[in-house]
Amino acid sequence: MTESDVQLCSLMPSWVTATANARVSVPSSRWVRERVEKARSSAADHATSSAGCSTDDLISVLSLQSCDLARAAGPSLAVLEEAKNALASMPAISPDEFGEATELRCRFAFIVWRHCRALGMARQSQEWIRRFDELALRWSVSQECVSYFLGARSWDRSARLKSAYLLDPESLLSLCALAKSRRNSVPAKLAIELPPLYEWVHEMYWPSSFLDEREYFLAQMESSIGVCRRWLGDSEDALIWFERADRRYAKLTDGEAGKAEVQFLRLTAWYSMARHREVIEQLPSVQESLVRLEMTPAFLKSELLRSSTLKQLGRVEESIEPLERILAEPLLKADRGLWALAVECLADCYSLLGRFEAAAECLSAAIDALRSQEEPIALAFLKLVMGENLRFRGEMDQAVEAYRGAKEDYKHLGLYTWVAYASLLVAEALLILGEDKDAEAEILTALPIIEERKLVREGLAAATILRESMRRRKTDRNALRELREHLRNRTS
Amino acid sequence: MTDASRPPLHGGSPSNGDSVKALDEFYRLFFLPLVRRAVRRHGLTFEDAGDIVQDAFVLAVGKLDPARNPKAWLYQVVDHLAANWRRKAQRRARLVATWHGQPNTGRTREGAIDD
Repeated sequence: MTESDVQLCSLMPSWVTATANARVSVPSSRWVRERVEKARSSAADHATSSAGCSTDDLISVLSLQSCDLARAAGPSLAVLEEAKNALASMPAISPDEFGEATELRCRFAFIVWRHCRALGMARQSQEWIRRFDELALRWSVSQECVSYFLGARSWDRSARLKSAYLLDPESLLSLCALAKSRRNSVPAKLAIELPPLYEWVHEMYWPSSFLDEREYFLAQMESSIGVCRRWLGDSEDALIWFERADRRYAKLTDGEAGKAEVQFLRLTAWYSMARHREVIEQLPSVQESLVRLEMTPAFLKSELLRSSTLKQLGRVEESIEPLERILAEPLLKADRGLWALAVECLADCYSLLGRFEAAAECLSAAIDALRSQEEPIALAFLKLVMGENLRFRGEMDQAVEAYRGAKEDYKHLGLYTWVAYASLLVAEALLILGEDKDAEAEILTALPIIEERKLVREGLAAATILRESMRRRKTDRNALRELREHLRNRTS
Repeated sequence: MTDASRPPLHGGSPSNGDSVKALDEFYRLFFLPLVRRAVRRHGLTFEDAGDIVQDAFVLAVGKLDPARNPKAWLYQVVDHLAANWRRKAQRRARLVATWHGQPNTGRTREGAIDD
C-alpha cells in the first residue's frame, strides 16, 4: 500500500465528518466550458491558453474537452485535429497522483485513432493504436482498474461492472492492450480471464459502436486468446482463434495490419505443430507484408521465428545470422523480454555447435537483462537453455538443477507442455547420472500430462513403449529420447 | 480562477489548522481527481460529479479496504454512482418530455448528454 493510499484511508472519516453540512466547492462548469471554447477557438493550444491556469484548472479543462471529443457521434476531421492538437500541446503535469495526465493522453490518442480509422487513414490509425497501447500500459488508477477488472473472478464481475468496462470502447481498447502485453508472459492466467469477457462482448448488443469498432475489439481478443492457447500447447485451437481473427480483420476498414499480424501468429502455431517446412515456405510473404506495413516489432519477432525454425530443421549455422542481426536492433533492445529470448535462442544454437564459451556469454547477458524484469517465460526458458548448455559440457548435476528450476517455473505459469518437456530432460540427465529411480519418478509425472492432454500425437508410440518399459523396471532410453524430441518440436 | 481554488469547506468547522491543511490536501489529491474523472468518463457537470464523489466517500467510510487498492475501488464506486445518476437523469428527461408532449433531446444539464 502506498503512502497516499494510507492517507486516503485515514482521512476519509474526517473528511466525511467535516463536510457533513457543507457544500464542497468544485470547478464551475460554466467557467470550464468557457475555457474549453477558448482553447478550441485558438486551435486547442493548451500550452498558451493554459498560461495563468493552475494545474487543477488545466486538468479540468482537458477533462471536459476530452469528454466532448469522445462523444462525437461520427467520423470528423475537425475532432481528429482538435484531439491531436490537445495532445501535442499538453504541458507536463506533475505531480500526477492519479495518473490523470496519462489518462488524458490515452483518451486523446484513442479519439485520434478512432477518427483515423473511420476516415480511412489506415497507416495513421496503426501509428495511433501503437501510441495508445503504449500509454494504456503506463500507470494510472484507470489502468489499475482495467487490470483489476481483467483479473477478477468471473462471478465477481456484475453485469453492471461488465457494461462499464466492456461497453466503453476506450476501456475495452485498454483491456485489449493489456491482454496483448500479457499474453506472452502469463498466458495460462489470461487464457482463463479473457474468454468469458470475449463471449460477453460477442453476444452483447453494442449500442455505441463507432463504425466497425466492435469487430476490431473482437479480432484483438481472438488473437490474444489464440496466442495463449498456443503457449498452453493447444496449437490446433490456437489456429481456430487466429482464423476467426483473420476473417474479422478482412472485413475491417483498416484490417491490413491486423491481418498481417495474424498471419505471423498462424506461422507460430504451425511451428508449435512441428510444421517447420511450411513455416519456412510461408515466412517470406508474411515478412514482406510486415515490412510494407512498417510493423518493425512484428518483423523482428518473425526473424526470431525464422531462426528457431531453421534450428529445428537442423540448419543451425544458418539460424545464427538472423539472430545476430536482430540482436543489434535498438528496437529489440528496448523489449528486454524479447531480447532475452533471442539471446537464449542464440545460446542454444552455440551449444548445439559445441561453442560452449560463446553460449555461456550469451546466457550471462540474458541473466543481466532479466534481473529486474518481470518476464517469467523468458526466465524459465533461460534456465532450460542453461541446463542444455551444462549438459553438453558434462556438468550433469548442475544441469539437473537448472532443468528442475525451469520445470518449477513452467508449472507456476501453467504451461504443461513445457513442464512435461522439462521433466523428460531431468529424467534423461538423471539416467546418465545412474539415478534411475528418480528418473522414473520424473517420467511418471510427465507421462500423464502428455497422454491426458494429447500433447504429441506423433509421439504416442514412444510414450506407450516408455510406459511399458517402466513397468518392466527397465526404462527405454530411446523411447524417452524420441518422446523428448517430439516435445522439443512443440516447444523451444 | 475556478471555485476549485477556494477553500473546499464552506460552512464546515474544522477543529484546528493542521486538520484544515490535511483536508485541503485530501481535497486536492483525492476529491478533485475523482470529480474530474466522473466528468471525463460520464459527461456529468462538475457540480453533479462533486455530489456523486461526496456520496462515494460516505459509502467508502465503512467499506474501504486498505489492503485492496483503495483508489481503484473508489474509482469503481464513482463509476457505479455516476452511471446510476445518468440513468435516472435520462429517465427524468424522458418523463418531462412526455409530460410536456415534447420529443426527448437526450440532453440533461449544461450540455451533459445521455447515452
